[in-house]
Amino acid sequence: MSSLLCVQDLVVRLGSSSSSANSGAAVVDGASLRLEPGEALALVGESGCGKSTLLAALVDLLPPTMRRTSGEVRFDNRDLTLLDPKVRRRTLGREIGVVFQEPTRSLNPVLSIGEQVAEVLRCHLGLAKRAAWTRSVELLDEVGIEQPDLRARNFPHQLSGGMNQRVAIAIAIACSPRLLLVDEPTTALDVTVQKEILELFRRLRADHEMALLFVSHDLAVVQDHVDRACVMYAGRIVESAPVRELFEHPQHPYTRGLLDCRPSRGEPHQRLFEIGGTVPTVGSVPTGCGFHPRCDYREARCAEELPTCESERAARSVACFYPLDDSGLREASTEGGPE
Amino acid sequence: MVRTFFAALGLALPVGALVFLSGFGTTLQSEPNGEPKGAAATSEHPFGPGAVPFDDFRESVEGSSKPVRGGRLVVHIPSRPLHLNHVIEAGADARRILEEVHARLVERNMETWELEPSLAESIEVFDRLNFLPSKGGSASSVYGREVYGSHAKFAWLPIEWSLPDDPSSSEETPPTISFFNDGDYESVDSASVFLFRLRQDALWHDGHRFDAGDVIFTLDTYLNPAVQSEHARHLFQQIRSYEALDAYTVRVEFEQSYFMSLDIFEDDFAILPSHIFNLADEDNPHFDSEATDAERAEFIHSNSANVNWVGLGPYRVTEFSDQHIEAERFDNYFDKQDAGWVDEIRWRIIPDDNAAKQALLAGEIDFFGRLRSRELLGEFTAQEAFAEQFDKGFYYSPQMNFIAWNQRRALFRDVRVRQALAHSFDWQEFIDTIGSEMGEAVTATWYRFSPAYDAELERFPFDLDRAEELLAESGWFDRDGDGVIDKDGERFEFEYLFNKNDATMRLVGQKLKENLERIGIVMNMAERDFAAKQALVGERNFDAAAGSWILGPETDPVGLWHSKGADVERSFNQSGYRDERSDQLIEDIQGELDDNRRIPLYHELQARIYEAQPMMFGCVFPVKFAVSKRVRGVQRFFLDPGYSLRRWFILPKAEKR
Amino acid sequence: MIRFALRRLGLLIPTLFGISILVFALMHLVPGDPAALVGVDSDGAVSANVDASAQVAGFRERYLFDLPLWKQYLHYVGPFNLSDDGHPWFGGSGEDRWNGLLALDFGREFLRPQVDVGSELWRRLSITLPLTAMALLLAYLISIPLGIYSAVRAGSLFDKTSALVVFALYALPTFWIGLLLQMSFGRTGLDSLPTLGLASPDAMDLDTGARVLDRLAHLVLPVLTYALGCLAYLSRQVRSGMLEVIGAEYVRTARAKGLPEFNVISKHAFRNSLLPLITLFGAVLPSLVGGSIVVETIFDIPGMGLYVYESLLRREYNAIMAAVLIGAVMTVVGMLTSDLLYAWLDPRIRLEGGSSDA
Repeated sequence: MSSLLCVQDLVVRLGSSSSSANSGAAVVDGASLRLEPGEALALVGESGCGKSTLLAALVDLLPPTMRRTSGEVRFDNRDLTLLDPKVRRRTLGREIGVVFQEPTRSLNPVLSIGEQVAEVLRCHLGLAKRAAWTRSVELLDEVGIEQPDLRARNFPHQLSGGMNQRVAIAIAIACSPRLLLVDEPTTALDVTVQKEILELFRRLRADHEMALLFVSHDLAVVQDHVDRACVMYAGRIVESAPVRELFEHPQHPYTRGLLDCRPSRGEPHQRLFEIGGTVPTVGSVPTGCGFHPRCDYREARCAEELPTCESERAARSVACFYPLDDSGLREASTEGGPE
Repeated sequence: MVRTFFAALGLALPVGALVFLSGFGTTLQSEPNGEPKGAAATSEHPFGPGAVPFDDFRESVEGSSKPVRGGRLVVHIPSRPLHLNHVIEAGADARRILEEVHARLVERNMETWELEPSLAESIEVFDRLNFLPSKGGSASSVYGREVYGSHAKFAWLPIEWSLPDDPSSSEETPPTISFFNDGDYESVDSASVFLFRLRQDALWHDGHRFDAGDVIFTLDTYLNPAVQSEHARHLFQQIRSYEALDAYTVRVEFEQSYFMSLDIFEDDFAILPSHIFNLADEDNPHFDSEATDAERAEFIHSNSANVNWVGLGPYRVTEFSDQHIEAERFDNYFDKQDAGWVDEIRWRIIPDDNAAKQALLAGEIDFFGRLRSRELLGEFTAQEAFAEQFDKGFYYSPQMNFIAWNQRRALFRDVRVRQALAHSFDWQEFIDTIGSEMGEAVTATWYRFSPAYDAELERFPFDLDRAEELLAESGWFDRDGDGVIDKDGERFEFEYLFNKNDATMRLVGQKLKENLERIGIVMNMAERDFAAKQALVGERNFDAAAGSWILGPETDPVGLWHSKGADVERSFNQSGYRDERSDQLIEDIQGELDDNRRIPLYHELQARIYEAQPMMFGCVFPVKFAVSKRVRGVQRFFLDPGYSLRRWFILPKAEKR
Repeated sequence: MIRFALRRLGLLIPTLFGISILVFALMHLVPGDPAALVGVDSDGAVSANVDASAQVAGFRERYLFDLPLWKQYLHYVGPFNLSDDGHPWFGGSGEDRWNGLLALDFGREFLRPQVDVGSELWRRLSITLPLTAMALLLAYLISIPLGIYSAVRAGSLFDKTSALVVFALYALPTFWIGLLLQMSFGRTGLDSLPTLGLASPDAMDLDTGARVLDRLAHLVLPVLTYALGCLAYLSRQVRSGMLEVIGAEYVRTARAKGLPEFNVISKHAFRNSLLPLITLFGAVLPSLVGGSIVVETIFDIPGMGLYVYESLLRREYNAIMAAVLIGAVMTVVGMLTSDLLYAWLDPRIRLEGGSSDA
């Protein structure tokens, strides 16, 4: 069985679409990932690592300041990048749903929410106005909005953030897509609402048999809701593994660092771990392994050569010359601490 | 009656040796019918009084064609007239239109510059003899004529006013000359009584007959304090009494003899149709005999006839709109000799000069009087579109510009300072560059081409060294080495106030500023809109103020230069000029009825004022015009408005519109 | 919403009185006197024959300029007789001929006393309004699609060229554009359009159909000049509003929904980008009645702009007051309209709610 989504060496660079091919700093620098039908994958990393850009690049919604310069995005065995924009657009919304980070801002303030849902139905499924409205009320009900027939007439500003995110989700799933792309859907919401939304995703995924690509900066949030996770750093995917394995045996020092940053419930007095240094900004990614200046385990080679994941098809892969072993330990470098 | 009286006079006085009558030659009468005015006459000097040839400025026209009737003349005017009722001041453009659509009691002959009877068929002028209180019995004065003779004694021909139906006629009692000794009477007011005999064939444009009632009503109106006629009221306040002796005879008596008493019945006296404007006239549909002064005034102010003018001239206004004022020939005009040739005159109103020039080149205008010097001599008039359609020319109009120094301010109190300023501007150079050598620097406010003006008077030459000398003499030199002359710790710095729309005086200011800088004077340019500038000048809240004046062929200098105006806010004595000798000269001028004796007085006054330099006397620029080739009969007059439309005619072949 | 509109209109009355007091005071503080323009020709030369000091004194007495300003204002507003001996022009005669502003009587002009300011304004409006309305309509019709297209194709050749053209138009003074058009289309150029006035001088002789055509032909160049003048500003406004909206997240959402691009722009982006344009509407309405001095001067159209300008130069206080008041009414109505439109287009604004809506 072929993968539902297969991304190969995707490069996104700064600069408008008219800039020459290889100019501009890379925001996403040769990312590859793979998603099976019905699978839920988390894409994690610190802010600015390029994960949201990667997601936008998949569906061709990059801001005008960036463009995709190379790589392929295969969805259902078709390379989306080669498709006619009109056909590609038909795929969007119909087979791929997208939910963005800021629920209130990503809804049109001047249209009623019912209309915003119904619009997709009319566009992709060719439903008549009335039918689309009825269906959108059902969808609102499905995403857990109470009194959906009344709410459908409301405008986004009349609803809470959580409610709006439910609306956004209703829009995304309206045509029962096979893939749902979700960009930090809970970051802007408070914790209790976060939980409900995550539960909603779980339920919908089960009901609709959707694959899920979940972008988040917080591994902990997604760990119970995804099958696999990819860790991104400085525009590259550094580690990819089933989520449980990743948690238990992180192989990349960065993944390890990320995990250590979490306050663990069991040990209340432990001092929080902190990765030294900061994420490199776009354009100033160091040569070799992008993480090496902050890495406690770096060797001379790390600064010169770029480590790659052995294979994105493997269940586990890591882009590191000196991956951590199962115990999570490795001899510390003697060449001094991080800068 | 009076005429027979003169006949008798002719018989009675041959023995009286040389007898002549004072004043204006006593009786003015219409010329007998004859040649059309101005025809075929030539003059070597086009300036000043004299016969004016037709079409003399045009190279393309040889000789004069025979005038024909018909066609429409389109004349450009640069601003929308407020209305045409000149009693409540309608502005310069309205006055020019009134030239053709209205008539006056007396008109100035554009060639001789003399006043001639018009609506008044004849005007008789009388003197008034005022008795000493002890003499003369019940009457304090008698009217008649002062007669000079070989007698040592004062001779007097008395006259009685009598109505035509009065049976006692002087035909039976020949007039007798009375002789008075010096102690018998107090004074004689020469030419203080005017008897206007009105034409009986003049019709208003609506067909109503013109008569003495209209004249009386107009005088009433000028003197009605509620009417907005203050601009001219002072002229008519000199009148002691006025009455209609009969339907076509008006007697006007002045307080004293005044050299311009007849002049006020020309330009400043706009006769109103009583049957339209007079609430107390039974012919008025709004007749109200009880109306107060204020109500009568408001009736005049708000009257729609102010624009839908009913006049007495050879042309009748048919339309008064924002874009044009149209008039057609009025067939019942009384002077058949001068009744106009074209059928219609359209005054086309285009306030913007550029737009007007567009219209000119498009052939929509026959006459345009706002060319600039460099356009007259340069490309604009050389281009085909212009040269094919138009001839160009110029004439002078009585307008001069100046910079008034406020002598109330310490800075300008010293005559040497003002003379120094006079030395620091080269008017000739300015005329040569800005006016393309067209224009003349002047030394007086009165009209450059009037006999009152002394062209021989020498100007202060442009001489900055002399200016510096004069300033130093007066104590102004650079003591502290800052490049600016000073005195008593004060720097010589002043403000030059000018109307921001006046391009000429702006240029004058800029050039003057440069020159003054070289002699250590700081001049700051202060531009204001016209009303604000006038207010500042009127309140005497200025240092130096640029301006320009329009003057008649002869203007009473009292308003401009008599010391009694120096302290009156808004009077024309802007500089605050005071000089006893000048006051005396002005009063002499006012009382001197003999033109030839008045001129030397003007010349002396001119020299005195010029020496004192209360203002920097500027220059006169000619009016540069374009006139369509299809228009003929064009004469250039050196009196406002500079032309007479009723003499123009349109060549029949060229008639297209 | 009706209550809101009524309340706002109710506020109009005190606003107008406030404005009238302010303008009345300012106007009289500006140096200059209407009477000072008596005997003055169009170039500002003064006839030395007139008695300016007497004229000014007469005017000041007749129109009560020497009274304290507050008394003059009361005279202006209504038939209050505050002068010592009564005044015929200001209600003092006991007749109700003159009722002041309260009776919507704007008074007369000073230098053209036959002119009733109210009817003159009305006449001028009837000249200006069709011209400005057509021009603004044209400007909007061109600038909206132009602005949108430039925004959608931001950075493209079209966007850059149109920006260049638009900035050139913006930089060119209106009178220059007007003269250029006159020279191109007038007798000296293509000779295809009239360049002056509102009608041919002989239009009265034409039949109705020809007269209408004549009038329309006369309107072409002024309307074009006026429209080109606003075009630049408007299209840039549309473009920047549109650009802002195009970057908004809900537009990205709309794209993510897979809607056709036309739908995204017209339904999601444009309606939101209209919002800032509506604020402009508050300024558009007064400019509709205000006219343009420049256009009216070049094309010799005696509209409101020239009237106000001439009145200012002549210190025709009554005319200035009336024009300002009409302008104020139009501004308030314009703002009200823009508020109502805002509310109609943007559900986030609830007019009944409060005053924070403008």
